[in-house]
Order: sequence, then structure tokens, then C-alpha cells
Amino acid sequence: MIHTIRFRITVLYSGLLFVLATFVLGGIYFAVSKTTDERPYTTRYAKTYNGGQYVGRQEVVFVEEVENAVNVETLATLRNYSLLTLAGLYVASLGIGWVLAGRVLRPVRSITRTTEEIQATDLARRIELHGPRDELKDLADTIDTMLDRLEEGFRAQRQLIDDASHELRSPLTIIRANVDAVLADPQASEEERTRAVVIVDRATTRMTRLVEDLLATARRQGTAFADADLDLSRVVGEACEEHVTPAADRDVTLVRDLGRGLDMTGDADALRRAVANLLSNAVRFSPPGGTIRAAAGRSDGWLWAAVRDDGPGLREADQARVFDRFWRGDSSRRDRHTGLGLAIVRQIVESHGGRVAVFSRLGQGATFVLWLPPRDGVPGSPPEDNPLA
Amino acid sequence: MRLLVVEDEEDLVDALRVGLVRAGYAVDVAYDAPAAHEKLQVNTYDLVLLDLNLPGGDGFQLCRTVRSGGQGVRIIMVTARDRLDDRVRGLDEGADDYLVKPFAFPELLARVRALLRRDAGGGTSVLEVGGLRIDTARLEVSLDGRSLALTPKEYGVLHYLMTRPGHVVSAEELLEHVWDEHTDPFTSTVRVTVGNLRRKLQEDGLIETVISRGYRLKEPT
Repeated sequence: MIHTIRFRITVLYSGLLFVLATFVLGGIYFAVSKTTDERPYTTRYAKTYNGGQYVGRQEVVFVEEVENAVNVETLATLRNYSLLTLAGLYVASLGIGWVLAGRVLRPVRSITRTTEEIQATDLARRIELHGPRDELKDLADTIDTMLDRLEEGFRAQRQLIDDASHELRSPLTIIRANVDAVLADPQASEEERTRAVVIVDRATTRMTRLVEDLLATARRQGTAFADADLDLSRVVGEACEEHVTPAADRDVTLVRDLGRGLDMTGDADALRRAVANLLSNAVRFSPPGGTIRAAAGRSDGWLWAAVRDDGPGLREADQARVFDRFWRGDSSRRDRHTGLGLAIVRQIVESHGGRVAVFSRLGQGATFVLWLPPRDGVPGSPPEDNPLA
Repeated sequence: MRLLVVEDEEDLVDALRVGLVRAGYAVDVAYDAPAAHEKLQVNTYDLVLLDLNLPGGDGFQLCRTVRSGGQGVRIIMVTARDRLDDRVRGLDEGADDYLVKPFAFPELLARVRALLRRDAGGGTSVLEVGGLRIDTARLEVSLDGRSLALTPKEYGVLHYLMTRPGHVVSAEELLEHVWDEHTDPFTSTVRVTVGNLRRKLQEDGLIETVISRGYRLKEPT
């Protein structure tokens, strides 16, 4: 109770009022007492005559002496009433202060009650404080927007966990079914066993890839963001180096067309991974004898890195979803990819303040473009057109 | 008994097929919703294992279509979706059972057996007709205490007949329920299998031939 703001406001308020009232009343008392000093009035006797005839002896006092005596008496009364008033005022101000402080602090209690009730699992509640736009309403609104962000964050995380567990279940089911139905069965033939081992191997590879990609996503969400000055064309070039051999293995030519002086600030490893994801998709989807073009340049003040392939291309409807997590399109029924590659690309690029884009027509290949802001910043949003068109 | 596996993961289908065939079932596979729909129209199945996330359609939708078509086939939804509302919805859409991935294969087999014997009037995994005894969990067959070694198809035919003792079962019906879709419908394989089965049973008249109608497992008197 002593530690509550309500108590402290009340005491402060009534204390200040008391001191102020004491000063005012004390001042008045002092001023009045200054003009009044206690003098005894003297009583004298005078002979009284009425029409020249002696009436008798009469007690007389001087008028100013009487006035002075009255003043002294009034001063005493003033003092007494002032003290009484002060005492009353103090008690009253304590009461009024208590009530007023309670009224002012009522929204705080409501904020406290609501935030106490909000759990991490139920972030849907809001304080929604009604009333005038004052400081407490501002506070409540700020907490509400913070809850919005928290809820969104939790929702995204739950979604990721849901998605991830769903994705992990498929290879787990494959492994489990092959172990149960084939490998653990003494009647299984050698051929069936060999096949099952290949399938289990493939499923574990898929799980490993998925876990790696999920970790990559989680890391990007963290704040460990190794920002440094870098040259985008160099990053793209390094990513290309890694893919020369895989491309050659599939009889695909990798052409580089890298501009100069593409300076920006960012995480070189992350950006290299983004470009590498695009390149490995391009290698995977390119027909034998096809060409992959990796390019980087500057357009409308923005830096861009792009990868074009001669693959099957994307339907209009799929282009909007291609960067979504766990989107796979009509990929093969075996040897599935995690569906996280392009989602990671988008995450990396957007965390650099950039934007991803895809240009494609069914049967005519696809171009993936990463727009990134240069080191000295750039106004507005990146251009909409295809820099490789 | 003939099953349709609707599942788009080829690697999983491989294992399921091996395991289910070894358990004495005829197995057809559909990799997407339209194919499953077509197969359900053309063939007669005793049970469907249905994945929910399918290319070209949704498992719930497929289940609803099957049910609104009046087909009483048993359906087990086998899916990675483990949320409560999905499980409830699956059963409400007409599934007989709901199994969450990853599952243990023996459990899947047990659920398949449990659903299939519901059509045969319940009971346990052991079926008995007269001196014939068939343990569908262990795939063991015995006649008057003497155990018999049957091929998967002979086992399938006997199992099917034992779920319908005293009823005439046509050769087409046996073909529909014991053999998968890769069998030539004009084959004499049913006749040959029933002949082999009779020889192994060594008891004439246990499986009677009803001329031009089919076969009948004699009910115990």
C-alpha cells in the first residue's frame, strides 16, 4: 500500500496543499499580528455630567485601546480557525487525493489486468483502452501494437514449426514403412531389401537437407547478421564457381555477365547462398545442352543479380507462390526437394532491404532477379521490369 | 481383399505395396486424386488408404465424392496432418479411420484387418468356418489342426470365401477382390488358384462349384 503510486500521489498532493495553505494562512496571520500588539487597555473613571448636573462616576476607556483589544481577540480567533481549517483541509485533501489518484490510475489497472491475462499461447487479446487520447491511452496503444507484432511473430513461428513437422513426417514415414515392411521382414527378398535401403538412404538425405535449410532459415531470422562492404558481382561470381562442375555434369553451359562497381553493404555468405540456390535450381531444371545465364548489374540506382535458365518455366499462377515456403510445384514423386530454397532466397534478399522477382513463361525458361540496394542507399522501390529481357 | 493406396510419395508406396502384398492383399496404387477417382469408379475395392495432400485434388474432397456416390468402401486416411480439426474433419467426411504419419506398419495392418472384418461381422483376427481356421494377423491357415502352406493368392481366395460362408462368390468377384489391376480379366487364374487350393485342402466338397455361377464355401452342418 505504501509503495503504490496512488498512495504516493495522495500524500504528495495533500502535503503540497497543506504546505501551501499553511503559507497562505500563516502569512495572513503574520500580517494581521504585525499590526496588532497586545496592549492592556486602561480603565479610568470620570465624572459624568448630564446637563450640568453631576450624575456620578463612570468607567471609561479609550476607543483605540478597545479597538486594539478587539483586534487581539480576532487574531486569536483567526489563529484557532486557521488551525482548524488546516486540519480539515489536510484530512479532506487526503480523501480527495486518494479518489483522484484512483481515477487517474484506473486505466493503468485495466492495462495491468489485461496484460496479466495475456499468455504467450493466447496473444489474440488486446487492451483496447477507451477514453481521451492521453498518455495512458498512448501507452495502452503502444502495448497493443507490440502485441500485434508479437502475435505475428509467434504465428509465423508456429506456422514454421507446423510446416517443418509436416515436412519431416513424410521422409520419416518412408523410412519407418520401409524398415517395418521390408527390412525387418525375414521373408523379404534380397532385391526388395536393396531397394528399401536405397529408398531409406534417399529419405535420410532429404531429411538432412530439410534440417539444414530450416537451420538456415532460423539463422536468417536471428540478428546475427554479418554486414560488411561487398561487391555483388564478386559474390555472384563465387556462386557461379561452385556450379560450373554440376552444370557441366548435366551438359549445361553456365554463362557469366557481371557488371563492375556493384558496391553494397550486406552479408556476403548469405547473398552467395541466395545466388547459389537460384543456380542449383537452374541446373536442376535446365534441359541437357541448355544455357544458364548469371548476371549482375545496376538499373535505376538499384543493384541486381539475375539467373536465367531454359527450363520448363512457370505458370502465371505459380509465379506468385514460387517463393513461398514448402512450395514445390509438380516436382517428381521421388527425390523431392525441400521447397525451402527460394523461400530462403527471398528471406535473405528482403533482410537486405531488397526484393525478389521472377519472370517466366511456360515452356520458355525462367529468370529470377534479386534487387538489392547499393551502399549509398536508393530512393523508392526497385524497378518492375526484367533486367535480362 | 483388394486395397487402393492413394499416395503421391512413390518411395512410401513401394514399401506399402511390398508389405501389403505380403500380408495377402491385392494392391492398386493411385498417385493423384484424378487417378484415384477413376480407379474407384472402375474397380471394386475393399479398402482405400487415402493420403490427404494429393496433387490434383484434396483427400477430403475425394472422400466426400466417394461417399456421395454411395460407395460403402472402407477408407483409412493416412496423412501427416495431425491437427485435431483435420482428424475430426476426416472422420466427418466419411473416413472409417484416421492414421497420422509416421505410423508403424504393423499398426496400419492391424487397422486394415479390423476394418475389413467389420464387413464379415466383427470378431477377432481369427476366422473359423468348420474345421477351417485362418489367422489374418499371422497369415496362418489350418484345417482340423493341420497347418497349410498357401500362396498369397490361395490365401486371398480362401480368406474372401471364409468371410462369406454359404454364399456363392463368382469368379469375377474373386478376381475383383483378390487380384490387382494388372491381371487380365479373361485369365483362367481364378480357376487354377481354386483348383490348387482344393488340392491343398485335401477335402473334396469344402469349396463347391456352383455351375456357371461361381464358388461356395460349405457351411458347417
